[in-house]
Amino acid sequence: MGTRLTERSANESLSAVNDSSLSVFETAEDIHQYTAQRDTLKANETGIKPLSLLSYVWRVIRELSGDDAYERYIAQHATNFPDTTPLARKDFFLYQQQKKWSGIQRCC
Amino acid sequence: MKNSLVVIIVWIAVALLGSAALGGIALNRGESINALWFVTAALCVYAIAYRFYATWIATKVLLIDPTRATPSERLDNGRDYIPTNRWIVFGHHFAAIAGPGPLVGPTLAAQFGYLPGTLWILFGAVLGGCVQDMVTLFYSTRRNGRSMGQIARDELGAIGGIAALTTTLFIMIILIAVLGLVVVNAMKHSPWATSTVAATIPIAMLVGLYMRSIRPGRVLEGSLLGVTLLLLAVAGGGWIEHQPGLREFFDHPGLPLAWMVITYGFAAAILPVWLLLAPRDYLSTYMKLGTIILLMLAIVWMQPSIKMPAFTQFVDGTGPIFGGKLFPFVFITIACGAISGFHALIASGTTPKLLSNERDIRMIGFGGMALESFVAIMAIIAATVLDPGVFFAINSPAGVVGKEAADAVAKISSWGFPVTVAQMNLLAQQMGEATLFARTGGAPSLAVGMASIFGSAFGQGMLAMWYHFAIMFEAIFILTTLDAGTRVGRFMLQDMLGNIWKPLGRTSWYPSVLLSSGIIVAAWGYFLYIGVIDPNGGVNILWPLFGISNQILAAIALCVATGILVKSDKLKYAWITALPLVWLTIITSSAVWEKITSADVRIGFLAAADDLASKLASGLLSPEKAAIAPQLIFNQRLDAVLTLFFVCMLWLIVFDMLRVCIRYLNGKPVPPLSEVSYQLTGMENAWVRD
Repeated sequence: MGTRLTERSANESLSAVNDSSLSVFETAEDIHQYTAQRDTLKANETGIKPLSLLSYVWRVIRELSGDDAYERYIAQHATNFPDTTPLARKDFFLYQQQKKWSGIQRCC
Repeated sequence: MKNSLVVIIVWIAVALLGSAALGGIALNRGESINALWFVTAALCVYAIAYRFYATWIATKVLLIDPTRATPSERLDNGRDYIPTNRWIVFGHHFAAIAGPGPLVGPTLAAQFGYLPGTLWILFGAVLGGCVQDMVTLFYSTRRNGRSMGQIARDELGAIGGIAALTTTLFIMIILIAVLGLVVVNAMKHSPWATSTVAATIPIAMLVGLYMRSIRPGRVLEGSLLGVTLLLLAVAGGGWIEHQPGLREFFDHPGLPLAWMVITYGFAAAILPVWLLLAPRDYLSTYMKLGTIILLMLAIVWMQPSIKMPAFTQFVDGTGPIFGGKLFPFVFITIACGAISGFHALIASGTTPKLLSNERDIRMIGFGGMALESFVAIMAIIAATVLDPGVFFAINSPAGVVGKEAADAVAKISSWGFPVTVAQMNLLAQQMGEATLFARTGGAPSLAVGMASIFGSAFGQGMLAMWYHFAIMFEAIFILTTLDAGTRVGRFMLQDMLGNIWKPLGRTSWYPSVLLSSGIIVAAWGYFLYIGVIDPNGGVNILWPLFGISNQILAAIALCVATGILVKSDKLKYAWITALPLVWLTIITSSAVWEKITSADVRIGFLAAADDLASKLASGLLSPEKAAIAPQLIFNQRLDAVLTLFFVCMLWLIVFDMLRVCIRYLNGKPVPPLSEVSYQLTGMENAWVRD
């Protein structure tokens, strides 16, 4: 789960935005620096250890294939719409398929 | 300081290595050349373009802003708009853009030799295709993930929107027809291939039932089951091949197979998606990714030699697979892999609704296309590792080289590409096929190339298995594109018909579903039918038509992007999209010009129609040819009208874009930028939810 900013840090970010040198990438280095920072933060948060590498790969495979789509939907639903009942697993799956194949999904 | 010095040295080394590899490929004459040079050259070109050009576009032109909230964050509803890890988005985006196009086009274009196709794939991609995908993704992200058609309408006006919509519909129809033809040519008189492809249908349905009713939503379990069954089906096809009495059920000439594909297409379009389309897409995605990775490993490990010369004499336009000179036809034949307008529809579809941060646009837009271009490079390697004589024997239609094997090898050998009947028979036997002659379309020669690469890497005893695995792999995602394309075509048509009579626009009203699906299937079924009965192999007609329409769609996307750049006061950077746009306009216009005016019957539609008509009138045709001649004549004239229509659409939108730009630069009112206003991201770390 991404961390939502607290009010204080949001204000700090806002002042950072006003300082134009930080709001937009100026050079290639900025992008790479940003990536590096992000990846470090991420590694710290998830605490990747050799043992958890396998479970990380497994998580990526599940997410990439959509195997965990329902679990993510439930988690998201609980945060955003706590007062309503989420769809059942089967209904969610059917809804998702229907929606996916109503637009252009595959190219030449 | 020390670090940056190392970085500079590394990049200089990459540049030197890339130039050496490219120079080696370009200047090599006569001797065979190691395929590893192609891989090296490609990787260096992509790396440099990604690191410098893409970064420059991101930071100086588009002004990508990582603090800006993306649509997935602002509109997060857990369904359409979902902030997603960038690698996951990359995976979805790549799976969506990489279809059979980058495999078929380069294989056909190998008739010019290995060099023209390779150079166009590399430079077309980094200067054209990657830029188009990245810029379109960026603009759609800044507009709540709106589609290219909608953006065209908002930014340029109604004309742009209509041009984008109609071209999309037509390209879909041509695309499905030509892909259907590729599958039909691969299954023709091949019980093994036909039974394997047929088996994919019940397998997909079984997986669909599994995922829906037995274990709802367990995608991985279902896919694992399906992939296992598919591999068994490949082996089972080999068994059927050797069962007299059973093999006849799957041994058909082209025309009945075409009718089967058409019937199947209609059935698939009206069945619920969970039953056939969705499960087969899961299977085809795994097959696609798995095979591409396997092919890459096998090429790097085996380092096969390229046997095709850098250029063949067919650059003069006399090529057996399709007529037409190097310019402009190599650029038309290879659309996907260099630049593909269809990608703009994906980049303005689901992908922008998943992006969690604008920063990822460079990797997903530019990087995704670079990877697809790499797939095209592998396809060209697989086609050119074959002996050129074998390559031409597989791909030349009977109408060009003759129906009898002896005639065909004599003709092909006379071009300077020696091949013998014995050699072709042995190859066919090794691949478990009755014959490999006149298998135009790219799939069989690619499968032979892949089988020989896999065979040398993993054991020669399995050649026939590898060949049919490759055929199954191509067929399964061609059929997915066919289903998905028919459905999208149906929705677009229903959308249009709904303007005439409201109920027709209701996507769940069954009479409307049947009617619109029927119209779309009839449209591509017609081109498929003509392609199959055409003795010169319909690929000669259909593939250029597809290439032209796909490039014109790309030109439309680039028009929209150029218009937005100018309207955002970035005139001095507008060349990043304007240059590829100019190039596409030149090549598509000159290709259309040739297809309409050329006096060569193998190039000009009208010349071919007139030639056939005069032969028919003077009774020079054999009875069976005379019977189909009126249809062929009509089709050639229809194709001429179609290409003219495409190019008119292109010029219409080019002028519309120029009109908007000139008005803007002169301070006159133009449609305002439809960009959504800035909102600070609330996600501190943009990897969200992984």
